[in-house]
Amino acid sequence: MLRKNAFTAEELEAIARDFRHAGLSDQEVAVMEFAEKLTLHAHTIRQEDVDKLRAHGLRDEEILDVALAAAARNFWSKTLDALGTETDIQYLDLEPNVRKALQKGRPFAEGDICPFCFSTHITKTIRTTDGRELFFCEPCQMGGVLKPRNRYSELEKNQILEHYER
Amino acid sequence: MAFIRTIPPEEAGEKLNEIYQGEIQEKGYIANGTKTLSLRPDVFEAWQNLLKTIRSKMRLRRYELVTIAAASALHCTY
Repeated sequence: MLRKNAFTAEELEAIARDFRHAGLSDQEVAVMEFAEKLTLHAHTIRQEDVDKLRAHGLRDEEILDVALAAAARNFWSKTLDALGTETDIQYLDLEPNVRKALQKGRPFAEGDICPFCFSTHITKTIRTTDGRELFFCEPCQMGGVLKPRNRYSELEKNQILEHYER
Repeated sequence: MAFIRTIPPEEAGEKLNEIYQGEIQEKGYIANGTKTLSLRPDVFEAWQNLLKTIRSKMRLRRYELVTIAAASALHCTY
């Protein structure tokens, strides 16, 4: 549901990582803090929190819109998470570093993204005899779980498979 | 795909088919979230209308910031 219309990839990455230090205006940070507090513990929100938004120039109609939009996202996210909805493959069009910063909860669809280089190329899944799945990322040749930062030769791929099948 | 049954495009009834076709036209694919709600296309439609109505008075930039803040606090990647 994230659209890139309003932000560049760099901005989006910085905001997703830490919106308080992403070059946003004070008003924008205040709006995000309100949405965050509404999400985490809405029952602790006091008049002062709302007055802070007013001090940043928001009219009451705008404050209502912020609360509605934040609560709407909660409704949607909770419903989808509770029912095990996977992230759309199409999100993988996002730049790798953006995706990494956004990837805070349920992993992106398994088998379609390299967990190491976050490549958009489909990773090759190898099924072991005991039914487990391993990925190999064709572009970066990262062989996953065992030695995530090493590059594997064909021989090493076979060794990993053997290890998993033992 | 999801923990509950979802309706594939080829089995969609009239309203759901309309929703699926609309998404394909608009984005080029059917979002997984839409499929999750496929057993209740009327609820999905009402939800989309609610969202559209909320957004209608907001600048896109603010709407997106609020969405990122909420989704991030929820640990939701969707």
